[in-house]
Amino acid sequence: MVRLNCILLIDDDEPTNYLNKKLIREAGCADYVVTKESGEEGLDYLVSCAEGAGTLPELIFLDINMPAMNGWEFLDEYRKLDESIQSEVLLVMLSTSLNPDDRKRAESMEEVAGFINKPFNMVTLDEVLEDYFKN
Amino acid sequence: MLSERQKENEGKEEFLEFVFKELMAISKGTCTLDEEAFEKANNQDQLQVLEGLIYLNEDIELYKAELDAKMVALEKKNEELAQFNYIASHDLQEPLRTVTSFSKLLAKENKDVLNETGLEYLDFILQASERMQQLIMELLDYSRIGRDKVLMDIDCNRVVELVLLDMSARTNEDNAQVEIGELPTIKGYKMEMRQLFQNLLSNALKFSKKDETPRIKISSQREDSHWLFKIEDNGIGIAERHLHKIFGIFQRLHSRKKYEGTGIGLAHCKKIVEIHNGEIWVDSEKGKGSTFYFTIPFNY
Repeated sequence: MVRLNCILLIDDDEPTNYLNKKLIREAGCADYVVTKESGEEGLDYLVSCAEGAGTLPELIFLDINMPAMNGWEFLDEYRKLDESIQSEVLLVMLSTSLNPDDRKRAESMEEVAGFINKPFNMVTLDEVLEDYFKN
Repeated sequence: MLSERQKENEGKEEFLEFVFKELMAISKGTCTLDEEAFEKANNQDQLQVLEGLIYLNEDIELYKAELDAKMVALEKKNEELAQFNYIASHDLQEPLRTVTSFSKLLAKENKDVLNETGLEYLDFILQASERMQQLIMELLDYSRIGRDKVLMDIDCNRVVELVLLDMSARTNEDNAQVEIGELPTIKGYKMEMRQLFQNLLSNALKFSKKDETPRIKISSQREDSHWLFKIEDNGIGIAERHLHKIFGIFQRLHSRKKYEGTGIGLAHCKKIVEIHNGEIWVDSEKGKGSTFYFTIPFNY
């Protein structure tokens, strides 16, 4: 399996972050797993990485339905970040939403590499890694 | 003897009166015009007017029938939706209660056989199932607002007084200053109005600044067709980009750790105001307090 340096999980639900972190750890596909419980915290983390204070993630799993700044609003702000950050990061939406409009919207966005439905499992994690990081 | 001209004028007047009467009947939906009415016409122009009336009546009857059918379908859909909400919420409660009850039993009776991780998992299960119970209850409450309720005269001064009495432990603790203006007596639903004030006032208190005495002002003013109520606070305010979503169901602007609650309070408020045919909105700026406005029409 591919091994990444760092994966960032952004989800307001603590148990979800807990489970996904555990899954990634067990898959052994990343040295670091960072979890953030809101869009703002996620952004702050990325900015701090650019300033050299944290490990820039190669992969972000982003939830859509979150209080204050939802996934879409996060993307609006993410777009404004420095190119050097965006070019290093691959972003995948991870959502409970079964609304096909959400999937379409995500797929129409340049910054979004993929859209997967929860619950997250070993198979989908492996697919993401195979699809985007094999080479 | 009437002259020809007088006769003609009288005929015209009589015809006009007839047309007027039929127009009134059309507007009330009691028009029975048919081709027999053509006898009333004294000339070609009047005949055309009558034809026009008949077409008009047919068109209106057609629209009305369509509208009635839509109305019936809509009422049925509404009823279905309310039922769906009720049944879904009730049926969801049962398995959920099982999850909660057995997790609690596990925590109580088998605590010593679980290791630290096991206890952590159990805590996640308990917290999530309690939250789900809360969400379901609130969804159920939401669907019940305004069902089978009786309109009555409500003295809003009294309602606010009672709500503040309920909240007095909290207001005392926070040292809050609450100013109440003269409030009207309105026609409305009592429990709902009480809940409306309760939600708005507890929000004003909940979202106060940590380092400032909470100041809440409740006032009202008479406008053309309604009462305008105003609830002002000096709390943390709401950023402009969030204003459009705060009245939605389960919309929250903060993490659950920072402020508890499911985010249905303002959705309740909106529904309550709307069953009174009023409107609700907010004026706010981040860091500069919020003012919630709502209207209740006089003749509801």
